[in-house]
Amino acid sequence: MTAPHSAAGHSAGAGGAEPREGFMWDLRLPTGLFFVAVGVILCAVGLIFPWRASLAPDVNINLDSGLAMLVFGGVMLWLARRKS
Amino acid sequence: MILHFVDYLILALYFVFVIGIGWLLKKRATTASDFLTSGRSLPVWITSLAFIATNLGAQEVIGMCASGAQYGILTVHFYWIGAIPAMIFVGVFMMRFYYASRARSVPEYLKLRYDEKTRTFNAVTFAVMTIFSSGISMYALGRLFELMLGWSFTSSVLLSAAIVLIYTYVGGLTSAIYNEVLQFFLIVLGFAPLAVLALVKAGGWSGIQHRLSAQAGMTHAWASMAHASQNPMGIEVFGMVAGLGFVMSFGYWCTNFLVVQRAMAANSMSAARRTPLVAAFPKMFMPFIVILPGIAAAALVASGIAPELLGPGKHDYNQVMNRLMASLYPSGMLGVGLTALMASFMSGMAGNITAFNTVWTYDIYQTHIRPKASDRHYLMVGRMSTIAGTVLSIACAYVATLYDNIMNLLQLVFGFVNAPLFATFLLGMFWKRATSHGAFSGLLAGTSAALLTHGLTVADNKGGWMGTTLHTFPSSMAQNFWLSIISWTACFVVTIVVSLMTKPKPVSELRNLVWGATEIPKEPSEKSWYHKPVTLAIIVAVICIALNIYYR
Repeated sequence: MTAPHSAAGHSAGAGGAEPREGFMWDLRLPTGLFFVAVGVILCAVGLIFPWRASLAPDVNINLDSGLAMLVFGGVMLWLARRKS
Repeated sequence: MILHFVDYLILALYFVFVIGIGWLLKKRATTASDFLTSGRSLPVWITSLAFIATNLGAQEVIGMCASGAQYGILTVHFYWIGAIPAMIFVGVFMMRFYYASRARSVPEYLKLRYDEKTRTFNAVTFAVMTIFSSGISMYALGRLFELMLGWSFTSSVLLSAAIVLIYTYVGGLTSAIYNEVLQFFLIVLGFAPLAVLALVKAGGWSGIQHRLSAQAGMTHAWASMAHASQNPMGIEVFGMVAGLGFVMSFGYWCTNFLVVQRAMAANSMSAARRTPLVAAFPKMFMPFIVILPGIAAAALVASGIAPELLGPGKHDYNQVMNRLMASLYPSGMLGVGLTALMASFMSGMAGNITAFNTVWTYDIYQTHIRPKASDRHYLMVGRMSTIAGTVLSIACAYVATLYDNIMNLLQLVFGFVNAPLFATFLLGMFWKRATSHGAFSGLLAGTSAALLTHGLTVADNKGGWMGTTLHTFPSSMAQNFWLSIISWTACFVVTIVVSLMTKPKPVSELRNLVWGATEIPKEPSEKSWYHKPVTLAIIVAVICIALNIYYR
């Protein structure tokens, strides 16, 4: 929700010596949002559905990877927030 | 491959983000140079990730995994003797030339250093190479759709062409660079779990070594290279180090405008020089994500646990990664893996087509067909050439169907284009005496030598189309390495001989183009050690040597 507004705000507000400064900050936000969203989906799938792969029937890879992505996405969001 | 709703949900989510970023950034791309080089304004961490993400297309993910299954650990030489030393060289030496000369492209550097005909020759061969590269990505994406959707190969390729066209058209390079960074994270996070699962399933590294002990050289990077007959690639130390380590890799990383362009988008010369060095850190460890699953797959096939990974009948290495995903990921991670692959294919295709568009617009169209038109006109031509590039790529996707490992085809194309060009570059940058007639005849000789080598030698039933076969190589890769050594040497020797016979340019015209005649703009002395290119280069080199020794 906030990504479009902040990008527009930066492009309108800057326009000075470094008109693109806002870009770098921008990228962390969508990256963080994306991986948090995927992490949530994977954790939910891992907890709800008993799906397992044919060659790795004893590993809940959805839950494990989902947690890793939540952490990564969280760090990205934290970096974006700190910068702003 | 059975997909559930959640897989499509992840795929859709990703495209919402990609299209969203492209749409947001599009408003800013108002001039032609904005559209093509992002206005030299990006921070180092973004240009570095984009630098490696640019060649993290189908080549890396599918091709490296395929090569891991076919050639075993010898594939890591593409990184530890190939890419890494070359990236160090680019960062420490080459980048200051690119940045100081203010050239928009490698062909443009050739024009300033040599002349128009040398530039045009390179622009044409480079354009051919970008089309092949994007065609190979298109092929691989098509094969993925085939497996995923059960469509025919033709419909699958047309679908991938349509996707990349929309993607490139919506954003241009600005969005390509930003999306590449997102894709890089997606590939790492999407495939690292696969590498871990495959490694565990194959019994760890020692289990892999044990299971592949019957196939000589699959698990030792250096120990099996004393003689070509002792390893699956059929190559000996000289061919490997000279062919891959020197000609192919230095040629690729020094002269491939597609990757150099990423560093040129950095916000200062120091930042441009640091780009390949910072990128080398993640790059060194990519083999653990893209090659290891292939070696593990070979071990699983050899021990009879999962013979289906290499397919029924003749081995189809191109599908190893796809089949690994299908058997190690359930729905959920399968969606993430598929999204990561599609992302990587798209970055491969979009990056190449954008480069094609730049070379065509500036180096061929603006120079030879219609000079002095308006900015708006060139922007329009750039967009039209994106469409033409996509159509040509579709044709190359069909050429790729003839190869069971796309990496073999890709390196062949590099041998024709990058190998001779690298000799031209070396001489141009380090030898003031090199002349434009020398460079042009050198490039011509190098490319002809590559044609002759391919026409007169055979490997895996390919080549030898000139009627006589002078030599048969044990593998396509060995043929590619020797082809590049021969074409590089031909270009190097002919350039020197012809240069000595022709009149050199006066030194005043070589300012900022040749080592020794270049005033390197004073870089503000960096405060911290991690901002100094040489310090970074030493750290990268030490880690890389350690990896080579450990997996010898």
